[in-house]
Amino acid sequence: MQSTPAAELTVLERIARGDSTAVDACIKTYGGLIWSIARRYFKRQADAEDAVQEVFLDLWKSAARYDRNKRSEPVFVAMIAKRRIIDRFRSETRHPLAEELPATGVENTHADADPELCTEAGQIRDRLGDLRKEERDALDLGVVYGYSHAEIAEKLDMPLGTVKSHMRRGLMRLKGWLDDGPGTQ
Amino acid sequence: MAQSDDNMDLWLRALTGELTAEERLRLDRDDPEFAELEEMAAIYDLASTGGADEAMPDDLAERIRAQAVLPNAEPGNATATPSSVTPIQSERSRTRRSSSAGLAWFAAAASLIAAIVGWWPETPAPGPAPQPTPTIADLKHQFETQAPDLVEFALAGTEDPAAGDAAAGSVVWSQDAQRGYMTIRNLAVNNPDESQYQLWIFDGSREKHPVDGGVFDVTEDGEVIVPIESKLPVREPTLFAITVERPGGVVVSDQGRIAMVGKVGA
Repeated sequence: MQSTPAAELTVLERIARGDSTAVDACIKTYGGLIWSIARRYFKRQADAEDAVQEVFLDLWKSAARYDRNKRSEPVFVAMIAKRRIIDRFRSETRHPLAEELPATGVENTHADADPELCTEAGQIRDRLGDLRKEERDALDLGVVYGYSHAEIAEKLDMPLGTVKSHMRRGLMRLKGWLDDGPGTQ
Repeated sequence: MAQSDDNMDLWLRALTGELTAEERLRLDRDDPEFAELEEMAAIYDLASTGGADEAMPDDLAERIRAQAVLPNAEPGNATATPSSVTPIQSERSRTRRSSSAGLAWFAAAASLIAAIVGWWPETPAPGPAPQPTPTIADLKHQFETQAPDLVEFALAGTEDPAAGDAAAGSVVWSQDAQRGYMTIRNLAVNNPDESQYQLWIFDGSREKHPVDGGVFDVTEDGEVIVPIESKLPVREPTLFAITVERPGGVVVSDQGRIAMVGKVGA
């Protein structure tokens, strides 16, 4: 089995090998992504900061599980971040709407979203408009903002089962587009 | 990704964090297919939000850097991962979670500090002087100078008592950034224990309900500036409305008390 040359290792692969110089690169590459996810759930900055620290602790420990043949690194990082942040958010039984807005504005500078961050996301970004509006609304609320299914049902004024159907169909559609490859209609 | 309805229900509840600890354990242990759905959800998130949106605060990055302990670290490179690692909590979080034990520590620490200060020689503070914290007006000004697609429109008071006779204001909004600021004058000061103001953004691409733009308070007479952070992507903003709601805001407003409105482009 051939090993990947050190110069071609991804950030997480370097982390998994114990290369502490990759810590900076990891924070620089994925800090904004993880921070942005946390801020969607925790409007109090202190809560978001605690959640982000937990995610990075998880990343250091999980880096060895990253397999470049299965998925891209940004997707792997986003999966870990979302799971950790949602679990923490639910354990504190809070809801985004109950959180306060920063009293004196956000303390962070706004950075441009990186269109090259993830090839899979780029592949389906242009297809999002092909999702049914109900599917997209359900996915926005459930997947992006972590509303419970019951909350989504109330917000979208539709039965619980219908909410789940829209989420399921939407995700299946995305998977179909990814399986078809880029440029397919 | 073939699945039974039961499995799919479990998977969907996992995505929104609605599993019991037992269900979560079972899912992770027995159901490797769930990773595919979790992957799709992560990709959807990245595609619909554009990935990184805000820069992480520098002091947080520094704490993470200082705290990093990597597995398989080479000697002299990084230390081995301890069996249990507890995240360093932020200052405000530590304060929030302190208990009576914290008071005892505080008293002891205060005594110690007082003793030390008594004999410690004065030394000049090292490093550059701390930067002043930007005000909300500074942040708004910075936003206005940096957002390339800024739109500005007026907010007008309604007949609601909170608006009185003189409530007025304006909104600056960047569709690309999905952020903005409201400048509001003469809206009644609210008691957060009784009611709060909530912003709603009407989106032409959504039929059912407007998008929640956040809950805020008016704490002083005169002019206040309020940052706008939409809870959902806003695709075609048409109208901004401020309602009076119960403390904490609501998921769906009955729009019984609309205090101010502003039409995009007006």
